[in-house]
Amino acid sequence: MKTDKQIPPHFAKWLLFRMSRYEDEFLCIGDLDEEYKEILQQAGHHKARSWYWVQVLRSIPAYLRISILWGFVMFKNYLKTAFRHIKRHKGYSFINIAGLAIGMTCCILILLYIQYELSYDKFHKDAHDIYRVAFEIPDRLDMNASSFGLLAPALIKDFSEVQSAARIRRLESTVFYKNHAFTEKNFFLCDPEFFDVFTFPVISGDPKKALSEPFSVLITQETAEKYFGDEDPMGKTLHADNKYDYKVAGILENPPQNSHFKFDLLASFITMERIWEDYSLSWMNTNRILTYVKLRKNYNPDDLERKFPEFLRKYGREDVVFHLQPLTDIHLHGNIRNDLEANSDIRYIYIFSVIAFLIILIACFNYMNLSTSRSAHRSREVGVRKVVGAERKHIIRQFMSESIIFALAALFISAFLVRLSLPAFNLLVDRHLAFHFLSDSEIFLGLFILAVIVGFISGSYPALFLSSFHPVHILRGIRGHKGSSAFRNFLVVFQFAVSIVLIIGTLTIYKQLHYIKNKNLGFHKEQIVVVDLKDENLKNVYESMRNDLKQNPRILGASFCCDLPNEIDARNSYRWEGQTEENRWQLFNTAAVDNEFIDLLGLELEEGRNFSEEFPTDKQAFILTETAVITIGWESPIGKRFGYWEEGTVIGVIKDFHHLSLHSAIGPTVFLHVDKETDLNLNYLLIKVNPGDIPGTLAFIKKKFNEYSPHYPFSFTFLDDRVDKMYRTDNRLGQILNVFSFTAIFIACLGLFGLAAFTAERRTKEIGIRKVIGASVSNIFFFLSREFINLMIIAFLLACPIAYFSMNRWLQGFAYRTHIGVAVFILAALSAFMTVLITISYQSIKAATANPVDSLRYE
Amino acid sequence: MNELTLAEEILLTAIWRLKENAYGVTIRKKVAEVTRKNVIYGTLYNSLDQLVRKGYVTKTRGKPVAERGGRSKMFYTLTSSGIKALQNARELQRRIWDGIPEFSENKS
Repeated sequence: MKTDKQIPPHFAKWLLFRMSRYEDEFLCIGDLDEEYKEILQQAGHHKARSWYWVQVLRSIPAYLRISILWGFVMFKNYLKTAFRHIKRHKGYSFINIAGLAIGMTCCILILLYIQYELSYDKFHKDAHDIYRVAFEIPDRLDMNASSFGLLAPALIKDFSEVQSAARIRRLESTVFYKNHAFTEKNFFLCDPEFFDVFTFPVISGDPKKALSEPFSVLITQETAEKYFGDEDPMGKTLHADNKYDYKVAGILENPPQNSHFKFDLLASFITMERIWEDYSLSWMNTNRILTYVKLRKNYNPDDLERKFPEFLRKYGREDVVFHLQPLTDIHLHGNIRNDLEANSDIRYIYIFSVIAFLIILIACFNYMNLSTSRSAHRSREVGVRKVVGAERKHIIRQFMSESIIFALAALFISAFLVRLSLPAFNLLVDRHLAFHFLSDSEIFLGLFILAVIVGFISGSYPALFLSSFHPVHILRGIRGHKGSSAFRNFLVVFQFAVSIVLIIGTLTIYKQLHYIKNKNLGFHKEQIVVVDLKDENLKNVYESMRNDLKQNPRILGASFCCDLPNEIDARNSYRWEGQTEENRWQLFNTAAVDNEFIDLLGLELEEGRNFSEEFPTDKQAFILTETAVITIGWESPIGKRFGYWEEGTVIGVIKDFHHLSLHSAIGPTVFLHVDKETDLNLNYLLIKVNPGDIPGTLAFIKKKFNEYSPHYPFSFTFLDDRVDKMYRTDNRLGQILNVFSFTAIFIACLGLFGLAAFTAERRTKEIGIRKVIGASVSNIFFFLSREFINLMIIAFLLACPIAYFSMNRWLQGFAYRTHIGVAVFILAALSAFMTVLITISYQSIKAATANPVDSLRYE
Repeated sequence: MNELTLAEEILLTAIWRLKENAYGVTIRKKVAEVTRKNVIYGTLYNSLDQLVRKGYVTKTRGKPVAERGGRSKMFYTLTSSGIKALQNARELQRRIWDGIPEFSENKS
């Protein structure tokens, strides 16, 4: 204790040390110590300590004033030398700035993308208090975005913490107005509470009133323009599905692009009762109704979730588990069934962040490498500065500010490059990103900080390295920095290891996509036209429509069905003879098809027969896949009783086929006849066509379609396109990775080019002597390239396990996948080696073919 | 030659008065005594550095002293131009105040 009081406060003393810049000033610290002791003896340690603190703290302004003044003076000098340096070594500066600029461009694009992805659904007022109620039935049903029709009113009634709750249900309709007809996929029914939960700006009309009356509809601006053009849409009538009339009761702004819920028309929820007469909301069925709730401000959702079991017991659904899914998590964390749109995945955010970081690191390493390799050019300057009186920290400061100047220059170039490449990038990621560099102060500041950080990282090693030179050694021309070349080699190895990992990643993704494209799906997908059907009346006339279509010799077959062969996902449970209790809730993928479906798609019958018009009882019959039979456990399935209530029989077994994307495993699948139930809609018409004159055939189909389904718009796709579309995200990842691996290797090569030039230059004399002694050009070339090739081999060996591990994890996402294979590694290695060789060969050949007389003349 | 500022004048006179014993602690005390203010070392050293740069004073390092944590004192002495500047300042002061009678204490 006693000694403690004897000495001045530690922290104050430390501050004082920090502020002292010259040796002289350290002596002055002694003055403070001396007076401190004096006051200590006279007035006690409290007084002494406070005196000391006052002295130190009040010295700060004077210190700052002086240091800023001198900092500015020196910075002006650094700026001048930096610009001189850029001017004198244009090529080198170009490589440096270009590398940084390209790296930053990639980084900015990815950051914009990430920022956009994270902004989803945050525009709602109190977005963090809004949740969606998702449910699962453990062991029977996976997490489902929809929930029961009676849930929303019950939540409002039973829980005071639920401020509001709204139901939403998609209602796909074909909408007519005068001579306009469009199929509206984003047509929703919703409760009046919708506008209590969500924030979507209204342009005209009273949305709450509109949503409480049946058959009134709110439309977005875009929709209003589509149907009404310049007319005033308010009060006008939209005709839907040739049956219902909706009155336009309000206009909304177009929902933002970064909303998981995109709508064009919103009709009142009670309209549902009028559309489906036998429709009743229940606690049994979800009917694809989504329920959103808004909780009291900052209410903890866990507390509500804890009350759910009791709540569900009250309504007789103890088997169900509810989850509150935060609204803002839906886009990135919500890949569950029955969602409104295919969501993104947080893993892509992680992957992209890592790539952005690695690319910027490659660019920084480039700068480090080039700056240190050219240290010889700068060492004299450092020596002179040191002799004149610069300390090490001043040299560090100089090179730091130089690299930050480079980074800022690169930033402005990359801002320009981002502007140029943003449209292409938007196509690539399928988003609507915008980039306002100068007008958005947040982005400007963010990028400015990014540039400073990049400059700081890039400058750190060169600054430490160059500042460590001893002036006497430099000025006497002694050089010997063994450590630096080891570090430089590490940098090169890192750059190329990252590039090779990216190349292997890209190649693996493309290999898997190729595998998908060529995998036998178990059905034919070529030359099949898919026509969307909306008209309910077609169900009565489809047989004659088929006969009409078949008049055309180019049409080889036509099948009417509810489900496409690549999208069979509707899950049902069935009863069958000899069913065991544990199989009671077994779910089957179910497709409703007609007689021609199996033949048209080339599905192979294993046993039994296809649906046929010769057997009228086939309307109650079922065809199962092999997997379904195995799941049930039948030895001989034909003739067994099967159905929702065992009402039908099994008439055939078909071979397994890929009824979903290759991400999912083949599951038990059941075909039933489209005529089985009256309320099954015919959704699609599949037409197998001859390869020749497809436009003519399509025109014919359109003509027939208009005859049978007048008013409805004709729209078609090709089955193979639809199959390809299922891999859109995978395709996109492949393309993005492709772009980034090119960028990475390009930046790395820029650096390598500079490095090769430097090596060749440093060894001019050595090469001259070797040539004089008798080395051939190829000898020299090999000798110069060897070093880089060795580094490449190390990089490759490092990259292989990392790439193998991470790509294997990606492939695990596919139930059916290819192997990464040796070929991918060999190809990646070859392409990397080739690029490297081409990059360094220019410098190597130049050095190898130089006349030794020139290089040795002055010895 | 430029005229001295008041701060410079105070510092130079303090150093002049202290003679051989002019170093940080004594200068600070002297200045504080004259100005009747708490003088901060940070500003004091900046001003002293400026005087050195202007050539009015020189600094010499003394021997390390144990009470000062093993640090030596930095002594300041006036140069001839410093002395000259002080003389000029005094002359200027004299001229400024020449002929002005003492202010009476009980004027207000």
